Amino acid sequence: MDSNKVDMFILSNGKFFESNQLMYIREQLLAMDDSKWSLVQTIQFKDPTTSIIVSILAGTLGIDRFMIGDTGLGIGKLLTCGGIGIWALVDLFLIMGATREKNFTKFQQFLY
Amino acid sequence: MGLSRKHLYILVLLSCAVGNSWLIMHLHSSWVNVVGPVCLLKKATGIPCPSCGATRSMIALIHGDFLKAILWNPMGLLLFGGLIIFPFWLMHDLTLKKNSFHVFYATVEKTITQKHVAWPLIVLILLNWCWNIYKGV
Repeated sequence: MDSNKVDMFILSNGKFFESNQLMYIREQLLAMDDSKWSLVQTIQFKDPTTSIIVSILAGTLGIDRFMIGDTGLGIGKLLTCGGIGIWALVDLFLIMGATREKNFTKFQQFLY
Repeated sequence: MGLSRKHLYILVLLSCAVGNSWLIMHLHSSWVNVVGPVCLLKKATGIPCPSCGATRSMIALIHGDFLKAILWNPMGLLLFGGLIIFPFWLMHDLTLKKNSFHVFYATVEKTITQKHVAWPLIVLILLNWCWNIYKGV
């Protein structure tokens, strides 16, 4: 694919991924066929900032985990008052990374 | 597909260990008021969360008072079942090198995300929450 398009994608979607994943994503996009560009643009990613806000406001209820698609863990948090409060606190630090991982998995699923 | 088998087993075993220690700690009445409410929502707003009262429910269940357990919080029964069954299930899986719990987790996750299952559960949890607030757990 055209490197201009790839750079545009990285610029607008960079915040959805870990910095170490960006190089891999760039390489994959460069090797990709040009016809897939319109499809690549339509992928919806979850915003890590939104998940940290949800985690602060409703982390005890597990809503943050439900939001990024970890339904099982969400139920675990919901049934245990956010893991007796400890899990909810730990997740404040983990949820942004988890969201980026989910986005990366989604991107990879799209590739294959 | 979410968690890997290894991560799931570590997480569940750790949760069960913490949960069971928490329960044993609360069986001795002298400990009950030392820690106080741990629910962040209750601490921040004063409103109980849907699962507040689950510890008291489980304690009532251990003392054989089934009705009191349900009146405190029906979710306590669910949690108690999990705390008793899951460690044995995981031990069985780990010793026999099987992955039946992982399959079970994936199946539950898949079933629960279907709309006709999810909505009734959401309504049930909201009703339980309203009941909790009404009771002032």
